[in-house]
Amino acid sequence: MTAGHSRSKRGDFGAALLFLLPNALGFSFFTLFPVAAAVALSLFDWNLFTEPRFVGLANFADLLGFRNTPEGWAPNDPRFWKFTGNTLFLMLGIPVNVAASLGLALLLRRGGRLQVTFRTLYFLPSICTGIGIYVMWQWLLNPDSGALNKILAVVGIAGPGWLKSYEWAKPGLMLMGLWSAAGGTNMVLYLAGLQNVPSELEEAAALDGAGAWGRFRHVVWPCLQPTTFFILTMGLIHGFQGGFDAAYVMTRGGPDGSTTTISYYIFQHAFRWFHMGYAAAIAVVLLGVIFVATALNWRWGSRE
Amino acid sequence: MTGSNRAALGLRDALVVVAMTLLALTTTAPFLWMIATALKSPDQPILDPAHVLPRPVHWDNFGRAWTEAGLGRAFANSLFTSAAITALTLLTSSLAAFAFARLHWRGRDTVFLVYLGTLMVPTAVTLIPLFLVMRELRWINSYQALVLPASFSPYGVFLLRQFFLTIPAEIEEAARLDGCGPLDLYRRIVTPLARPGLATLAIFTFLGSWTSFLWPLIVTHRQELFTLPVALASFQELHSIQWPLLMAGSVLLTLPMIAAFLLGQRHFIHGIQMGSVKG
Amino acid sequence: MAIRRQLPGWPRWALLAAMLGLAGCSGGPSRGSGEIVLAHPASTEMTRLYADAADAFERDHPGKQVRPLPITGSDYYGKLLVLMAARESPDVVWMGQGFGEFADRGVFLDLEDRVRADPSLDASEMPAEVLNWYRANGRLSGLPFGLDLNFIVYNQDLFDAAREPYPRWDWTLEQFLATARRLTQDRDGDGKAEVWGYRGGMEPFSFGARLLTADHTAPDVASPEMIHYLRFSLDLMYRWKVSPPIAASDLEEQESMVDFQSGRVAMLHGHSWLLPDLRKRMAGRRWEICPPPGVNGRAHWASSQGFCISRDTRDPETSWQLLRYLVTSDALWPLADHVAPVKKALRTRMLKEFGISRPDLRVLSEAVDHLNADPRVPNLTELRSRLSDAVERVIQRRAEPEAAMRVASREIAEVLARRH
Repeated sequence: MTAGHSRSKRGDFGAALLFLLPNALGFSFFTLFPVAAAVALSLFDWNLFTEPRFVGLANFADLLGFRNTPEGWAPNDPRFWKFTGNTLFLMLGIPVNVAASLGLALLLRRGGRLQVTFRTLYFLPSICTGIGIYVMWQWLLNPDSGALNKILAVVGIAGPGWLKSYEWAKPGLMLMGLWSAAGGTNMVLYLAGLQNVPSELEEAAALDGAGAWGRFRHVVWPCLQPTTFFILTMGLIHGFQGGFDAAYVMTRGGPDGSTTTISYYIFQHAFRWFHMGYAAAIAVVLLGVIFVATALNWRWGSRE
Repeated sequence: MTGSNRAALGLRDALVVVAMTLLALTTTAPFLWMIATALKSPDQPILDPAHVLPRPVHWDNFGRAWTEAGLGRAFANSLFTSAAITALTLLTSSLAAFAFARLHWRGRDTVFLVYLGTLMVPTAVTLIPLFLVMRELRWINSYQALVLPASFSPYGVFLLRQFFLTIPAEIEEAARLDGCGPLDLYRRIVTPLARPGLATLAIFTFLGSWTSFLWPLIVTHRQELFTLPVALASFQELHSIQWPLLMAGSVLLTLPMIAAFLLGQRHFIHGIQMGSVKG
Repeated sequence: MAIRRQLPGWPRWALLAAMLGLAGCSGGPSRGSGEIVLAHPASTEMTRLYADAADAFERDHPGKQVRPLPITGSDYYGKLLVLMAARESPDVVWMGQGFGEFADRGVFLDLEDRVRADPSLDASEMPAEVLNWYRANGRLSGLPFGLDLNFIVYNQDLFDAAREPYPRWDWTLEQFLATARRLTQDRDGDGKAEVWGYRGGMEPFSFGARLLTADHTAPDVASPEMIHYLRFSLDLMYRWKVSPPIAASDLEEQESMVDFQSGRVAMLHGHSWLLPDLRKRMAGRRWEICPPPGVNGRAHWASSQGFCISRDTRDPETSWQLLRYLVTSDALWPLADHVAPVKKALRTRMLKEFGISRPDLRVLSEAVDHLNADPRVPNLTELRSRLSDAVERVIQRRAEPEAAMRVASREIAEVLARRH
């Protein structure tokens, strides 16, 4: 136990190395190296079987470039831009989901018997994954026989075509996302974060005459900053690469590509059409976008 | 507080409970639907709203799902794989997160940004390189291939770092003054205090690996090594799906996750305040 | 002490890690020597059938071992290609429409000489057209045993109730449309029928439309035939309202079956692989199948089921014996109640054993003279996706047929050009 004494404020380097080593080794081998390999792959034209052909930045030019056509300038790959738009559109659901999770967590934070039961019941959707649930949502969102439109009809609203219509497919998926995410991991994270809010502070604020909103605004919310930062960061990251499962199982990316996200597009190029290089190039671009977005968020999150 | 105020409060509470019960109905309906479908006979319409309840009730679907598709073995595989991934993740992530959150060293934030950066890597990118690595190691069809690539996730490091950061610096200062080295700090102060965080990560990791589909599908093609989701996929026939057996399997898939959640939930309720802050 | 009690469970973790290491050792090499791996799409029926076939083969060929590898899920070709890329190629491989994508990558053995040298195979018994589907660069790399086909399924009770004669086998599109209109019942007139005359969309081949020109070098999707197909499909859904709008999803087929079973659909676009399910769902009810209507007479969409041998196999001889066994023995015969055999004699036997009523399997056996298949070119999946994207845009009424097909034509030309 003597090492601790000689350690200066900056001198944790040796210890840090040891602590980091087990994870860093596995991480380098199973994450960092494959990423580097993927970046290298984006410079090649490769169908998995014939020899990879070095093409430089041609994949990126095909992906991001524009060309002059008789009708004016047009993107080389209009699908990429359309699917990027889809991905961003679906990400509009993130703040709604996070707000819902926070609301539920606030309602359920006391941890009474009843509330623990509710927590479990609300958590259910997030773990009922897989094909079974997707089938159920397709049934729910069926324009004619689906439960949702039947309920809407009772209120006198003619329900939309949901997954079968170009305009409503994305809102349909966002609804499903809200259902499955609100009581899920984000709520659990907020519940854990709420444990860290010092009750003395809240009581003091209450004594000072702060209402429920005031206590939330000035005591609870600041204490939840790290949690919110984490949730938003993960939300951004997942949002940019999200939408694969639903597209794969429920809509095949349609109708007319309205539910195809970037990750599904990468999958299509890599595992349906076997353009490994081009798929890697999309992934690298996606990586860059996510990196910039997260870096901005990180700067904002570590400001205080 | 006056009596009428208390009555209003009671009414408001009652309304909240009613609203929350309605919400709970919405969230549990799919699970009930899954169970109902799991008990149907194969030729009873599944998607027809007029036939929601199973008639007659086929309890044997669970037995058939367990034996016919080899779900027994798959269940054990999933359990072992998920437990191993969770244990390894907790161990390596907490060590690394400690280095990022509680130790001071040059280049810390830069290295962390690299970790953070890889969080953003879409699975589709690493899939093929990882697969080729497995091939070179001759790990295709092995438990290592199922467990190891999933056990060093930067996600766990990030999550635990956030939890470790919330531990007040005074506790750490006091411990350091008492002569605690980094290892003691990690073992006696930080990890016990961050138990809610560890429990949370444990649940997430377990759930994540329990439902993981794409990777097990690609690195295993022997039935003995199939995890539950992959084995379930074998129900998904090429052109027509055996809904009742699929749903019976889905119910089996869900139960351990509910168990994991209930177990973990107890941990973070008895989190920081029950632990060494008071003791 | 509270702190001590809360120590993480080191021993448990260490134990788990050790277990992990041990379990890892059990992985071992993925295949024993002398074992032939047979890849096929998984389904309850197929998985059982191929397991039985493997056992029977092992009994007839002592010392040989066959391990069936059922590939689950709907993405058979994708998964297979990933396996092959990992040098985990199965020895004998089930192949259908995706053949071109694989053959182009040179992953199959040339079987020409072996087939020619084997009189028991009697390739002359097979339609040359179907055999040619397994030819790439002039070389025969596979042998077919069965055909997948499309047809129309109809509910005879609904026809009788509407006093509508059953479809003639040589019916035209106009007769088909008239029938569908008379069968559609929309009493409240809201455009959502209580009974739809038809469901499931049309097949471009029925209009003489096709993806590529005959020499497979250029797109042919902007043809008047393709426009006709699109206009007719649009009219079915939006003008005559005899069919619900179609959607591209895995559930579409399931939903259609449920609607057909419950009598909400009088005619259904069906495929041969649905027959076992149809027989089960419609047991005790009156239903039948007939050829799809066509502009130029009868025209079926068709694909095939067959086998190829992987170039990387370590035992070409046994693989060939297994392939021969699968194609010539009775091992796969149970499939013949819905997969029309490629060999003529076997089609006759199919009618004898599985009957000409409910449904009338002559629809399948006689379809052999009216086959239309997608070209087995490399990148077929990608080429088809360009067409189906455009078709979906038209069906969603987001583009006029002509404009959508102009775009599809340009995109298909680009895909073709990229390859050469």
